[in-house]
Parts: sequence; structure tokens; C-alpha cells
Amino acid sequence: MTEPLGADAGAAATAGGRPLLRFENVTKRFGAYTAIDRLSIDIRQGEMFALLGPSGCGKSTLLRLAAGFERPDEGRILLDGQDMADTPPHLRPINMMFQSYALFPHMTVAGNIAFGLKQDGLPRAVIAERVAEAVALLRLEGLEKRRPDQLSGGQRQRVALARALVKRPKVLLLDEPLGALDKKLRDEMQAELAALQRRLGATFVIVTHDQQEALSLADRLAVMDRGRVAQIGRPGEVYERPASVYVASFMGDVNLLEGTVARADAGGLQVDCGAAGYVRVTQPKACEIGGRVWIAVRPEKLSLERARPEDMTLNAVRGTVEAISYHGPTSLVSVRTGDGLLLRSAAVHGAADASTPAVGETVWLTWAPATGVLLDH
Amino acid sequence: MRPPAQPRSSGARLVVLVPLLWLACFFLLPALIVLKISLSQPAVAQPPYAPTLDLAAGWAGLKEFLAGLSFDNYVLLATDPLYVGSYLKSLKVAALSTLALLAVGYPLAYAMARAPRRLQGFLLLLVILPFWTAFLIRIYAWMTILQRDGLLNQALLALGIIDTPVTWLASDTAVYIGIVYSYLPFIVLPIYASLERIDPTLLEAAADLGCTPTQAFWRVTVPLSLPGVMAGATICFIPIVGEFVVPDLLGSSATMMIGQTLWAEFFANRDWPLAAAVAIVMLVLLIAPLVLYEHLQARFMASER
Amino acid sequence: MHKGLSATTATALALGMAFLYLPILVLVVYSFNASRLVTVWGGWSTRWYAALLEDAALIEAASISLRVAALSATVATVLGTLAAVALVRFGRFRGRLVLSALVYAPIVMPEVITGLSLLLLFVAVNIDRGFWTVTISHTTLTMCFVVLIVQSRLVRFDMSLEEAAMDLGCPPLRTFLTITLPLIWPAVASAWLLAFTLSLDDLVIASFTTGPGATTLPIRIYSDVRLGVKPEINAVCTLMIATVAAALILTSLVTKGADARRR
Repeated sequence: MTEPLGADAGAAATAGGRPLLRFENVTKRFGAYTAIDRLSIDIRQGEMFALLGPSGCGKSTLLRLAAGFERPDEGRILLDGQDMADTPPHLRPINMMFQSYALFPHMTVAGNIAFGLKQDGLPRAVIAERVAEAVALLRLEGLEKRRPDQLSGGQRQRVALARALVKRPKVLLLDEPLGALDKKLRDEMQAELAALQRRLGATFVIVTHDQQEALSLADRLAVMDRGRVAQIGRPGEVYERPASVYVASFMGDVNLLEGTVARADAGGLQVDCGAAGYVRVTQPKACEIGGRVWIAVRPEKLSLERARPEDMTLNAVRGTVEAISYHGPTSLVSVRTGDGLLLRSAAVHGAADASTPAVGETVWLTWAPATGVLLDH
Repeated sequence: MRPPAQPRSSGARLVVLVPLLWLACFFLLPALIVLKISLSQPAVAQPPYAPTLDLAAGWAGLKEFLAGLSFDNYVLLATDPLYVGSYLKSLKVAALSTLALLAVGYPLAYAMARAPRRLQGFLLLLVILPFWTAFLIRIYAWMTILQRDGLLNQALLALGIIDTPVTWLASDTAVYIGIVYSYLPFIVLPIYASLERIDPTLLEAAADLGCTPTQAFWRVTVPLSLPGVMAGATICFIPIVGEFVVPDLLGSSATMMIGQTLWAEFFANRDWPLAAAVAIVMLVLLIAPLVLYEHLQARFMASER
Repeated sequence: MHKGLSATTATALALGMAFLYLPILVLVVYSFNASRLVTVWGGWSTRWYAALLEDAALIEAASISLRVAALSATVATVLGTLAAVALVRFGRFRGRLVLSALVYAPIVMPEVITGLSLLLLFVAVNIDRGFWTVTISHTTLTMCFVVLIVQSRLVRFDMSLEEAAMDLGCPPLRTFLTITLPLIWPAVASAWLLAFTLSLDDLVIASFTTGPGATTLPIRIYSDVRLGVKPEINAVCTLMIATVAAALILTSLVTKGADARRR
């Protein structure tokens, strides 16, 4: 791997990547329930792709469709341009890391890792060599002879990963790979997983319900909602420019202001938000004057001021501090505006922390027009 | 859980077909033959009934065969007090022994469920173990105990409870004892299973909300164990109706249970068609409790949801 | 709730267990009774066991029963395991309802009806009754119990293990043999044992479906028992209990051993 290491190294490498795994108008029903609804996604060669959504949104079903455990009712799943409809799971060059890890309890660590290679009928020496390689890659040395129930959670997770990776699959599917680990271990493994993927240049599809995990791991991610894709994009895009109220609220805490488009000019739009006054948004989005819209602003974009700021280009809303919840590095300040709207601002605890207001104090919430996002009603 | 994939390969089809065909040949087909023969008449021949279906004779043979069938056996069963009495006796014995089984089995299952966790596996094993010894042996053991100079009378005489030996054997009491003894595991296991599943915090919640332990038992434990009670009662009631070994070895010969009647018609009287009709009527009688059970279970499932 | 053993609980358990075990204990103890009178204790003796060794007909019956039991239990285990796999793994397939009805019906069906209907089948297709007809009949009954046991184990079986194997390139049949079977085999073994003992115990179905030259042990015991209590029968019964107990202990040791090795 000669690519430069940087924040966007993975994304740069994949920007021109060809589609490797393609879902084309896929529908999957279980009885009367539609789990996947006419969904299309292209996953590119060499990228780390995250499927993100609340439980029941169909993300795990999508993974099982790719692995071949479920068959689509409509649509096609293409791997490298080949329709996978008639390929049973054991013949697909796709491997999965199960949420429960699904380690074979009657086999050792080495036995588990070698299992898939034995199915391919590889010579014994090759199997031994590749198992050793995988053991080294995932730092499992010394554990080869153990049984799964003699391993810690983190070790089991690595065995499951090794077992799937050792087959050198075209696509590796990971179903909530870090879900069973505790917080600290999860953060460590997150970094390790990303490094591993980059080093191998492999295509990973990871299912998660944790938006933090998706944001920090993925090159691109798809937010799913009831069997459909709500938005696909790079983590920054999806977080900063959500396409809908659903995505905005799923991707983290958000303030939503409801209003009517009052004016459009070169600088953007003026939205009449009732008691909160006129709010300016600089989003170049075609909007009908008089149409109802939402404005989404992340709490960390709102600043708290004791007085109305001089800079008239900033949006400003007055309110009373109702509650302050302490979150360690930040505090979340809830402010009730005149018309009863509750807005939240994340205040970072700086060195000069005199500015944190007290409950009951009247404050101004201000933000730059560029940080708000206009969403359809 | 998601429904698993449909069987696609021919191998998967074999997995279904082999046991299915076996049971069709050796369970379903025989039941149909019983139905057919119940409409025939006994004959001094080999096989001892007429008419027999002669497939070689073709259509004419089939017609002749159909003409020879009759409901005479069923008419006899419905009119002869011997048979009616036998059916009624079977139903009565089955109903009373199921009640007796519940009276003995529920407390035992409840005690098992309340025993310390680490003991429960062992207790479960203890209850299942006698089931592994032959039915016949267990009934025979009671013959030893219940006979006139048997251990029960010896014990009762020694304790001064009775002055002269009581005739236990060849009585309905002996039959009830034998049935309760041999069917006990079948009623304890499902009740225990449903009791054991009850979340102990439910009882704590009931107590917290002001229930005395007795009230909690009747309002929480009993209703939640009903599926086990129903399953156990059904599993016991149905085979008891057709029971043969227990009444034959422990009961009196005054009124026979229907299993004995069938046995006698078949082995002693060699009236195979009548034996078949006895079996068919018994089956019809047994469908009612099964349907009732299915219905209650479905309702319970629905209310749990 | 599960902290200690209260007095009431202990009493109920003691009474229940006494009821279950005293009769069997009495039977075993009296098989060592020196007296011919079954109810009079005449000191310890093994004379009735010695008498058994000379009873050729009884030994023949025992050997037939053991052979029928071993063969029918083996076939029943295979058939029952297949049916359990179909019922648990294949979801809603055509014939599922029929199969599950056919599996449960023989379990609740009174034995006299099962026996009679099988006999009438054998007569209708003109098969000579004897060893094979009893074996077939026992297979039919016991395979349903095998289904119950294996099914309850398969339901608890983590399906993702099978999926993982297939995902790693293992075809379905090999997955069953290398992953599923090794993990459920304690259940399969106890299903075999149950089928074996059910066959060894059966009187009613065997009486209907047997023929000349294939008198099983229970039929033999039954014809003696009808005439009253005999010390020889106590000895036979004790031996049967011992056989089953030995098989049970062996199975639990073997499966425990397998579990221990896994650990």
C-alpha cells in the first residue's frame, strides 16, 4: 500500500473505485412485512462502507441478502457484475463476521480459522501458512489451541474477524462487529479495524446502529429507514448536510426550527420562524416563497451570548436557560424561547469558563447562516 | 427469528420425504385400513374378515367390495350396553386419574421449581428416571405391594390401621394408583417447565403491590402455569383412555376399560372388524379433547401477545 | 425464591420421590429374596438369578427384545433426526403440517390402536409377522419421541453457526455433519437411548405385531405376570432396570466427557 496516510486517504483511494457489490432495486418481504423496499446501493472496490440505522431498518437483512442467507423477492444483487441469485452462500466469495461471532464451540481457534480454507480444499501447508498469517495479523499468537469459551470477548471478536478474512473474500460483511464489546475496547478495535481495512485494501461492509462508529470508521455510509436508503454519502456530508429531518436527527443531536420561506436573495433565504424571528440560511436550494420548511442546526453550532451580538449577519434567538446537563468536555444548555421552542447548545468547557450561564438566565443563541440546513417539511 | 430458507436441493427434499413416507406407510395407511376393516364383517377365513378387496378383479371387484361394507359394527357398539359401558368407564377413569395426577403432580412440580437452582437438574433427572424403566415392570411392582399379603396390607396391619387385610388388587383403587404412578412424570414435566419459566421478579412485584404469598400464588403463579397444566393433562388423558396394561393387571374384570375390550375382541373373540370399529370410535372420542386443547392453547398464546 | 429448601418444599419432594422410587426399590430388594413366597422375607439370595440362566425361553425372548430394540432405535434415530431437521430448519414447506401431525399423533395415540392398525396393515399386505414387523412398528412409534428430543435441541441451536460454516464455503450436507451433528449429538444419543428403552419396554404394540418365534421379553413377562407374582420375574425386572440404568450412566458419562473436552 503506497497511498498517503491522511484523513481522507481511504476516500481518495475509493473515489474512482468501480462498483463491486451492487444492490439493484432489491425488495425483501417476510410475510406481510417489507424488510427491504426497492433499495439500490453501489459499494465500491476497496472502501469501508457502513450501513447505519435503528434496529428494524433492514440493515442486517441487507447483509444476509449479500451473504446469500436470504433471497431477494425482487431486484438483483451483483458481485463484480455477476448476478448472485443462484449462488448459494457456500459458493459466494463473500464472507461474514457474525454479530454473535458464531465461533464453532467444538473447534480450537486454529480450527475455526482454518475451517473455511479446508472447505476450499487447499493443501495442508498452505492452510497452515495462511492461518499463521491471520493469527499474526490479529495478534492471536499463543491462543491457537484454545476453544472459543476460553477466550475473552475481544479475543473472540478477533478470531471471528480472522476466520472471515483468511478466506480473502471479495467483500467482507461485518454485522455489528463491535456491538458486544465494552466502550473502551470498542474504541480500540474501531481504530484497529480501520487500519486493517486500509492495510489490506479490502472491501468492508459494516452494519451498525451507532452513528459515532459509522462516522469515524466509514469511507461512505448509507443511512437506512424502514427498508429504504435515506441518504448515502461521506460521513462529513451526511452529518453536515443531512438530506432529511430523519437523517438529521438520527445522525446526532439537532435543533429543528419550523418556518415559512419569506425571501430569497443572493445571500440565501430568509425564513420566518414565528417568535424566533427571521432566520437566515445560506443553502443554495431551490425553494418556493411561502413554503413550509425545517431548519436543522447542530447544538455545537449554536453559541451562547449574554447580549445580542453586534454582527447582524448572524442568526440570533433570545430565550431563558431551562436546564444544563454536564457531559464532561461539553455541557448541553437547554434554552426555552418565547414561543415555547426548546433549543440546545453544546458549550465547550474552555479555560475561561466564566461564560457558562445559570438556569433562569436570559441568553441569546447565535449561529452563522451557513451552519443551518434547510429541509423539506 | 427470520424464517429459514426454503428447501431447494434434492437432498433437502429427501430429508422431508423419507420420514414423511415412513409415517405415511406405517401410521396413516394403517389408520385407513382400520377404518376400512371396521366396516367389514368377521369371517372364518384368513384374514378373518370379509369382504376383502381383490384388486385383480378390477372395477367389478371394487363394486362388490363396496357393497359388502356395512355399519353393523358401529350399530352394535352404540346399542350394546357392554360397549357403551366400557367407553364410559374409560372416560371416567381417564378424567378422574387426570385430576388425581394434577393433585399429586402440581405440588411436586411446584416444589421442584422452588428448590434451590443447583438441585433442580438433579430433581428433574429423578422424576424422569422411572420413566426409563419398563411400564410393565412398574405395574408389576405395584402388584407385589398391593396383593392380599403384600407390603401395603402388612404395613397397615402392623400400624393397627386395619384389622383384616384389605383387597387392593383387582379394584378401581389399584387402577388409579397404577395410572397415577406410571403417568406422573408426564404431568410433572410440562408443569415444571412452565413454572420454572416464571420470572421470580413477577412474584416480587406482586408482593410489592400488596399480594400475600397465597394471593400471589393464585393470581400470578397458577395462571402462568396453565399452559403446562393443559399440556400435561392432555398428554395424560388421551393415552389413559386407551390404557390396557394397568387395568388388565391391577383392575377387576367386572367392567373393562375400552383398551381391554379391544384387546379381548381381537385376541379372544378374533372379531377383527369389531375391534377396528372399537378403535375408530375411541379415536373420534379422543379428537374432542385434542381440539379443545389446541383451542385453549391458541387462546392463551393470543392473550400472551 | 431459589435460595434454600423450605420444610414444605422438602416434604413435598421427599413424598413425591418416595412414591416414585419405593415400588421399584421393593421390586429390586425382593428379587434377592430367598423365599419362594414373594411377600415373606427369607434372607438374601441370588437363586432366582441362577434360575433365570436355565430358562432358555426367557433368554431367547431377551435376546430378541435386545435386537429389536437396538435395530429399531437406530433406524428411528436416523428418521427422527431427519424429521426434526425438516421441521426446525425448513420453515414453511409443503407437507410441513402433515409431517408434524404425523409425528405428534403416534405419541398420544393409545397403544392398542397403534398396535391394531399396524397389524391390520401387515395382514393386508400379507407380510409374515415376526421380528421384522415388530421392529418396523417400534421404529414408527419411537421415531416420534426422537423427533421431540432432537427438535427441542435444534430449536436452541444457534443458527448462525450453520450460516457461518456455509459462509466459509461449507456445503449444506457437510455443514450438518461437521457442525450441527457434533454439537447436538448428546441429544441424538439420548434420543437413541429413549427409543431403545421404549422398544425394550413395549408390550402392547409388540403383542399385536409379533408372530410365531418372535416372543419379546415383555410379552413373556406379561404371560407369567398374569398368573401372579413370581420371584423369577422380580429378578428379570431387576436385570432390565440395571441394563437401562447402566446405559443411562454410560450415555451421560460419554456426553459429559465430550462436554468436558470441549471446555
